[in-house]
Parts: sequence; C-alpha cells; structure tokens
Amino acid sequence: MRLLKEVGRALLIGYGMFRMHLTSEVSSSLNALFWALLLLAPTILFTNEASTAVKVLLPAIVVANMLLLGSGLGMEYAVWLVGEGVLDDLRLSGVSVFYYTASTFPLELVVIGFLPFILSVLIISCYLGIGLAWFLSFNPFVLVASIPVIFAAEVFASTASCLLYLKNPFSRSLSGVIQIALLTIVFIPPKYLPVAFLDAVVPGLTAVEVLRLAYGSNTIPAGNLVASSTISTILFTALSILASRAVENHISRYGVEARY
Amino acid sequence: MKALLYREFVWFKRYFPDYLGMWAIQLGFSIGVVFMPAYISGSQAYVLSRLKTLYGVEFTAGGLIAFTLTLSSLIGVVALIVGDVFSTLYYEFRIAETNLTVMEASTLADFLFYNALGRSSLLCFFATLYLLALLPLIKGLEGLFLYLAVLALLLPASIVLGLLSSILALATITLTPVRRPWAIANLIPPILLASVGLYIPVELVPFLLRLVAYITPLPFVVEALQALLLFVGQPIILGYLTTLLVVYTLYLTVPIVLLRRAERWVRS
Repeated sequence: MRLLKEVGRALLIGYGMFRMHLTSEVSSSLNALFWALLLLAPTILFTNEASTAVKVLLPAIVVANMLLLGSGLGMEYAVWLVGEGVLDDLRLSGVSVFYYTASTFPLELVVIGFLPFILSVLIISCYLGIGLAWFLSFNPFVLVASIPVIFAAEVFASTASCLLYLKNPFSRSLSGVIQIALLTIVFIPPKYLPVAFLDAVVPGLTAVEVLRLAYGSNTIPAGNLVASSTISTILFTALSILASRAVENHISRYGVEARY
Repeated sequence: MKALLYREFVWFKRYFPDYLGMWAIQLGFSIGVVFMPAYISGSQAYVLSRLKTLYGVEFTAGGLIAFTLTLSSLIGVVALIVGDVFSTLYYEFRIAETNLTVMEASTLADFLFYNALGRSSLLCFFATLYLLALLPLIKGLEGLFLYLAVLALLLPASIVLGLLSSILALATITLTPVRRPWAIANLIPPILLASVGLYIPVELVPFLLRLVAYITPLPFVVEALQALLLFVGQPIILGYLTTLLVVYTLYLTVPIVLLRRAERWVRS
C-alpha cells in the first residue's frame, strides 16, 4: 500500500514536471525527429536493402532521444532549477535527480521516445516508398521488456550529467561532446563491436538491440541479449543511484553554482 | 566601436564551447552517413555503387568522406546562425532592452543588416574551419582551393540566413508572448536541413518538405555545393553558380525591403 502511494506520488510529480516542460517537450520531440531524418534518410538510401535498414536504424531513435532527454534533465537539475527556488522545493520534498528523472519517465517515454519514432517511420516510409507493414508486426512482450532497459540508460544519462555539471567547470562543452559520442554509438549495431558484451556497458546500446529484437532485426543472438540487457539494467540503475547520492552530497556540502 | 568589439569578444567567449561542440556534430554526421550504411550493407563498395546510381558520378572512399564533410559544414552554418540571431535579439530587445537606443542611434534595418553581415560571416567562418584542416589532408592542395570555394559559396548564404532569421526572431520576440525563443530557434535548423536532404539529391526529398526549404536559398546552395564537389573543374558548375547568384540577389533584396517597411511601420 505504501509502495503504491509512493508510486502515485512520483507519477503526480512527473505529471507536474511534464506539464511544466510541455513547450520544450513538443519542441524537443520535433527537433529530434528532424535531426533523425537528416541522418537516417541518406543512411537508409545508401544501403542495399532499405527495408532492413529501417528496422535496424529507426528503433535507435527512441533510445537516442531518451538519452538526450536524460542528459538534459540532469543539466536542468544542476543548472536551471536553481532559479526561483525550484531546486530547494524539490530537495525539501525528497526529490533527488534520480527521483526527478524516474518520475517523468513514463510520460517522456511516450512523447519524447516513441512519438518521434512513429513520426519518423511515417515520414521515412513516405520518403523512400517503403510499406508500413513491418512497423505493425512487433512482439509486444519484448517491446514491454525493453522499458526497464531504456529506463536504466536514461536515469544513468541524467544522474551522470548532473554530477558532471556540478563537479566539472568544462561540463558545458564536455557534455555536448559526450552526447554526440553516445548518439553516434547507439545507432551502431552491437554485432560490430570489437568485444562481446561491450554493449552491456555502453548506455543505450542494449536497449536499442532489445527494441530491434521486438521487430526481429536484432544483430546479436537473443540469448546473449538477455544476459547483456540484464547486466546493463542492473549496472546502470546501480550507478545512477550512486551518482544521485553523490549529487545530493555535493549540493548539501557546496550548494549549487548558478551557471548560464 | 570599442563597445561593439567588447560585445563580440564577450559573446564569442561565452559561446566558443558551443562552436567546438558543433564541429563534433558535423563530424559525427559526416562519418555516420558514410559508415552506417556500410555496416548495414556489409560493404563500403555497395555504398559507393549506390551513390554512383544516385549522382551519376564515380565515388572513391576518400572522395565520399570529403563530400559528406563538406556538406556537413552547412549544419554548423545554419544551426549557429539561427541560434545566435534568436538569442542575441531576445537578449538585446527583451532583457537588456537596447532596442530603443539602437533605434535612436541608427535604423533597425541597418542594425540588423550589419549584425547579419558581421556576425553571420564570422559564424560561417567558425562553422567551416574544420574543413581547412581536413580537406587539404584528404585532397592535398586541391582540398585547400575547395575549402576557399566552399567558404565563398557559403558566406552570402550565411548573410541571407542571418537576415531571414532576424525577421523571424523579431516577429517572434515582439509579436508573441514566447518566453523561451530558443525552443523555436532549436527547431528551425533541423527542419530546414532535413527539408533539403543535404547528403542526397534535393529532388528526392518529399515535395511538402522541400517547399519549407524554399523559404531560404538552402536548396540552391546544397545543389551548388554538391555540383562543386562532384564536377570539380567542369563547365557544368558555372550553371549552378549563375543560378546561385540570381538566387542570392533575390533572397537578399526581399528581406531588406521587408525590414525597411517594418521600420516605417514601427516608427509611425
């Protein structure tokens, strides 16, 4: 009962935060869609089989957007929420950066994760004249199973970015480069990685592969994927909790430096 | 003059890390569109033959990298200029409220024109600077000349983009209650760039998207850039350059006329 109450509270906070971010959410969602189109339309057009390429590449949009969002939320917690005392209110209510990201996750996954994915499928199909049948034939159980893996990757991106912003004076440029590196990597199918199970320790890679599995376009065997997604989910959730605690300790000890 | 130089110095100091981050994006896109299809197809040779079908020209691996690197420079030009114009005008007109001082000392149209001329040219230079190192590395001396040609081609485009962005930014800031104009500014570059295709022939982009791109000279610029890279030293380029000259004249004249009319309307 207490757990249910806590989940309900988290969802309520998440809904409040989602409403506060609504303009930015719509803008980010469209933004992600068009950047993805710019990269993926030529990529798919240059491959030998467009129908395979869309199934391999487009699911990565969901995870790429969630990683970007996570990193944005972490930065917001450390930089933007200081104004008007919002950060103080959140911390007094026990809302850590982990909690903050986790509470917004359900709605963000739909609007920032899956909505641009669906729109990109529609536009790319129109672009390249590919039918939509593949998009509707997915395994719903695997799709649901991908949610905790995506969650772990997003909260890690958020808490790690937040810690980076608090600890490092060059975080602004550094986080941009890290974001680009992560975004480039999540589109690469794990079968091309030099070491097996490396995907488990790179945020987002396993999550994309599980989404690919839902569409039958996974590039590594399903057995390996079960192992690497379990490792990835546990590892990144644990690291996120540690990073979130480190953020709390840092703020309690030094406060937050407002940087614009 | 001292105040103006100080303003530019502070601005560049503040945003320099963003310019470096932009190079990372440009390199990421250049490498991504070359290697991702090769990974999926299982061979670089297939990608090269696919490009030959699309453009009717034989590509080498080095030539393809130079092609995508050069086209990616437009990402930086568009993203930096649109973002800069929106944030500068929002800060100066809404927060610092220097618009009255500007209109007392000069005309709004002149202020925006010189802002677009100076700032956009500088941003164009910064956004393409990585090509100065990479093109000569790939193509030798020819790469250096190519860089200069690309810069000459993109400079007028950046001024036009600066002017068009100024008009849009002013309309957004003065006519709407938007509190976060950068949400709009961030949205414009990917829409424009996706609407021109950038790495693919422009005519392959769906018609409705292409219509959006024709608000700016970008589709013509992309065609001219692609022709410059594909047909080096061939007379076919002259046709593209002549078209571009006409297009630049038109796209420069219309915003200036619009700004002068807006000025008369504001002052009356």
